[in-house]
Amino acid sequence: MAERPHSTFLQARKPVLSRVIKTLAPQFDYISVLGADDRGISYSATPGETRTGEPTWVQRGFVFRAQKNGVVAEYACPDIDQDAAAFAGKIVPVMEKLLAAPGALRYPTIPDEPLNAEFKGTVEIDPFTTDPNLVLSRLIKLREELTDGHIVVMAQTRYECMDVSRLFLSPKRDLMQSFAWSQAYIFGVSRRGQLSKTSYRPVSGRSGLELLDNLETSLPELKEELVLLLDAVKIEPGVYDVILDPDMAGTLAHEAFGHGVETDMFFKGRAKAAEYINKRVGSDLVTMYDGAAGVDQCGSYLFDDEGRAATKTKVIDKGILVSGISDTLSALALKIPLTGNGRREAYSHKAYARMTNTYFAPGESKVKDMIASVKKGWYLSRLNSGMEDPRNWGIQLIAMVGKEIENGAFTGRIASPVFCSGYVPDVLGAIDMVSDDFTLSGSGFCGKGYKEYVKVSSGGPCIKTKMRLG
Amino acid sequence: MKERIVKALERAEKKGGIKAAEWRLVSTNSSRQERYYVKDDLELAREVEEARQSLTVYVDGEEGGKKTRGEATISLQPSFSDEEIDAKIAQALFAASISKNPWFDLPGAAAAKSVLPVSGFETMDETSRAEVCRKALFAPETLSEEKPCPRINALELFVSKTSKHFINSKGARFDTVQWKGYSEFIVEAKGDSGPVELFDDIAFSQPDTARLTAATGARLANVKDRAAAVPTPALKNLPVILEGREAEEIFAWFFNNASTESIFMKVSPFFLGINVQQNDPASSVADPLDIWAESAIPGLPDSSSYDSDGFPLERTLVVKKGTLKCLTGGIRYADWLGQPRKGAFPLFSVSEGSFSLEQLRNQPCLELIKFSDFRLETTTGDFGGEIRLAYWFDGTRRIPVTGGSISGSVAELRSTMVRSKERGLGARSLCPVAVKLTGVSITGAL
Repeated sequence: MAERPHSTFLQARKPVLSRVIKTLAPQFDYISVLGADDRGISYSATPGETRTGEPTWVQRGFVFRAQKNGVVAEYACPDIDQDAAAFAGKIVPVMEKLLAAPGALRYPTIPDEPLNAEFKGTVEIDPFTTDPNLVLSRLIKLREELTDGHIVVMAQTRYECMDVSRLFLSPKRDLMQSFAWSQAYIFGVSRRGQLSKTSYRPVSGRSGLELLDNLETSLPELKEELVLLLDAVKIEPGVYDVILDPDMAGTLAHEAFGHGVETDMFFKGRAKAAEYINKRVGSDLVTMYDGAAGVDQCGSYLFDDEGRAATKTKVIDKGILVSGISDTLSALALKIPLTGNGRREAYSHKAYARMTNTYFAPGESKVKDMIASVKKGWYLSRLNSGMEDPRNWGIQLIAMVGKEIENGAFTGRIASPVFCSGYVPDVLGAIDMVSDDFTLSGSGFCGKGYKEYVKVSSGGPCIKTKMRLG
Repeated sequence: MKERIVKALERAEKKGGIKAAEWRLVSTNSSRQERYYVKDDLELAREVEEARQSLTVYVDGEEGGKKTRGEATISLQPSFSDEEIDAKIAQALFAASISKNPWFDLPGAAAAKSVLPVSGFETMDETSRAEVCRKALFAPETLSEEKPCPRINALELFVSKTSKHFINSKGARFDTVQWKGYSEFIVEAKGDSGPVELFDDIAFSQPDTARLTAATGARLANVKDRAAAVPTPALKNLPVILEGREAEEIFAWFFNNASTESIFMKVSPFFLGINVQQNDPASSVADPLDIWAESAIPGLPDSSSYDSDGFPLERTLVVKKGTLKCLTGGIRYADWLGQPRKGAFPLFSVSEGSFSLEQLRNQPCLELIKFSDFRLETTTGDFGGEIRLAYWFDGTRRIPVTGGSISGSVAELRSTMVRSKERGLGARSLCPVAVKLTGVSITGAL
C-alpha cells in the first residue's frame, strides 16, 4: 500500500502561516486559514487519440477567514509572502474593508476549540509513479474492445486521480490530511442510421489504479446494453412500481433529503425540511445517513474545509426526519450542532453546507424477491442525473436504462431515457422493500444549483417504491 | 514565471533526452469580488486572487511510417519550486512521448480577426462594480405583506477580471482581458399551500443594468404565477414551447454536433451537406435555420478572438437553410478530417424564425418556463425534465401549471421545429427566444 504524503508545499508554508495567524489573532474575534495543495493526473483514450493531463480539480492556495463583531469575511490567494509580519499587514486592510461592507449579517463568534489531528490515506497502485504507458495501453485496449465499428461506433475511456492535501490552522487548531481518490469510466455510443444511444460504466473510490480491474469486468454487459438500447421503447407516461438500483436510490437520497437538509438552506428559509424535524417523511423502511466519517468513499475526509471534524449524521431514522447537515455559519446562526459538512469546491470558493457520502441503510429483502413482487413496473439503472427542490419537495431523476418487469420477471424490453419525478414524501412513503446489500458510488460530483462542485458518493441498497415516469 | 518555465523545459529536455517539438504556455491571473445575500442582507463578502500557468508540451514520433504528435498538459504556479517544475515537466515530456496521435501543426503568429467589445467594468472603481449590479438585480423587488409577495430569497454576485497571456513555440502570442459578472438568484412567493421558489442565473460581460433588472424582474413575475399554479394535467398530442435557456440548448444540439471533434470521434451522425433538420431525407422541414459560429457577442463573457489552440476566430456560417455547410471546432480534428481550419468557437447565433412569439403561443400548447433541471444529451438528442412552471394554453385560457415532466428527442422531432422571430442573449448564443416542437411526451402531475 502506498501512503499519500502530505504536501511539501503546505508543510513548508506552515511555520509562516502559524506566525501570520498568531499576528492576526489579536485583531479579530476569529481567524483561520485553510491551505490546499491538490495535485492530479488524468489519462484518456478517444478514437485516434490519447492524452495525459490533469483534472480540473488541481489547485494550490489559501483562504483566510476572519470575524469581527459578528461579521465574517474571507480572502483567498494563491500563495503567501515568506515575511509573516508583512503578509499579515497586507491581509488586515483587505479584511477590514470586507468586514465593513454595508448590511452585513452578524453571527455568533465562531468557536475555536483545541484540536490537533492528521490523516494519511493509502492506495494499492500509485498512479503518480506508474508508467503512463501501462495506463494508456489498458485504456486503449478497453476502448477498442468495446468498439465494433458497426453498432458500437465509438468508445472512450478515462482515468483520473486526485491527491488531496489540506492544512487548517487557527489559534487553537492544527489539522492536516492527505488522501487520494480515483475515478474511471468507459463510455460507448451505438448507432443505427441517425439514431444514437449511449451508456457507460463508472468506477470510483479512495484508491489508485486498482480501480481499472473493475472497469474491465463490466465490458461484456455494457456492450450488450448498447446494442439493446437501439431498440429501446418509450414509456407510456404514468405512475409505476419501480426498483431503483443503488446508484439511482443513492441519488434519490441525495436529492430528496440530502440537499433538503443542508442547513444553509434552513437559514435562508429555502428548506421545507426545517418544518419537518422529528416528523414522518418516509416509510418505516427508510433510514438515511450522510457523513464523511463511517464509510470509506470519495466523500470521506478527516476534517472539512472549515476545520470541523467529520461526523456521520443520521438524517432519517425509520421514516422520521431527525437531523440536518451543517456548515459552520448556518449552524451558529441556527444554534444547531456542527456536523463537519462545510465544503468548498476549491480554496478560492465559499464554503457551503454540503453532502459527503449519502446513502440509505440496507434492509432485509433480496433483489430477486423485489423483482418478483412487481406486477407491472420498471427496474431503473445507469443514473444520468438528479435534481433537488428543497423548498417544494419535487424530485427529478433520469435513468439511462429502464428494464420492464411484468408479473415478477423481466420482459426483455428496455426504455431509454426514463424521466422520473414525484413528490418526495410520496416517493419515500411508498418504499415497501429495501434490499439487504450495500454499494456506494463516487463517480459523480455534486453541485449547489449549477456550480460549486464537490466530490461526493451516494448509494446504499436497491429500493422499491412508486414514481411517475415519462 | 514564463522565463522560469521555459528554462525548466530546456533543462528537462537535456536531462531526460526527450525533446518537445513544440509547446504552449497560457498564464492566467484573476481577481474576483464576491457578495452573498440572504434576502437583502449581506451574508458574506469575499475577495479572491488566483494565478495559474498551463503548459502543454508536444512530442513528435513515428508509428507505422507516419509522423505522430503526442501531448501532455500540466498546471504550474508561481509558488512551485524549481524542483517541482522540473519534475512535472519531465513527467509531461515522457507522457507526451508515448502518445502516438496523428500529427498536426500548431498555429503560428496571427492577428486577431475579430474585435472584442471593451467592458464597461474596466472604467468603474472597485466598490461600484458589484454595487451597480446589486442595485440593478434587486430593483424589480417591490416588497409588500400581501400574498403572493414575490421577492428575492437569496442572491450571489461575482465580478471578476481575468488577464490571460498566450504564447507558443511557433510564435503565437496574444493577451486578453475578460470581465465576467455572474449572479445566481432564488426568487420566492407565497401560495395558498405555502411558499414556492424559482432559480435562475445570468452571466454578463457589461454592467448592463437593464438586462440585469429584466432577468430578476421576469423571474419575480414567474414565481408569482408558480404560487398560483395547478398540477400539470395529462396532456396528449399538444405542441410544447421551450424558451430561453432550454430553447438555446435545442439550437446548441445542432451546433455541437456540427463540430470537427464530434464528427471525427463519431459521436455525431452529421456530415457535410446533410440537412440537419431532417431526421430522415423524406421529412419536410417546417422552418429552415441558419447557424453562425461566433467569436464575440456583446454582453456574453465567453467572447474570444482566439480559441484554446491560439487559432484566430472569424465569424463563420455553419448551417445555411438547414444544410451543414462548414465544420468548426478544434483545428487538429479539422486536419484529421481533411477540412479547412476554422477554430473552436465559444459562441453561436441562430437566425430569426418565421413566427412571432405571439403566433407561437396562440394555438393550444404547453409553454415551458422553468424546469427542475432540463437535460439534453448531445449524442442522442434525448431531452426532458420535471416542470416547475409552465403555461397551458387550452385555446382560451393561459393557465399556470406545475409538476409532471416532458421528454422527447430533438433528433426525432427536429423537422417539426419552428422558432420565434424574437431573439435574445443566452448563456453562449444569440438565438430565438422560443422554439416549438410537436410530438413531445408530457407526463402530468396527477
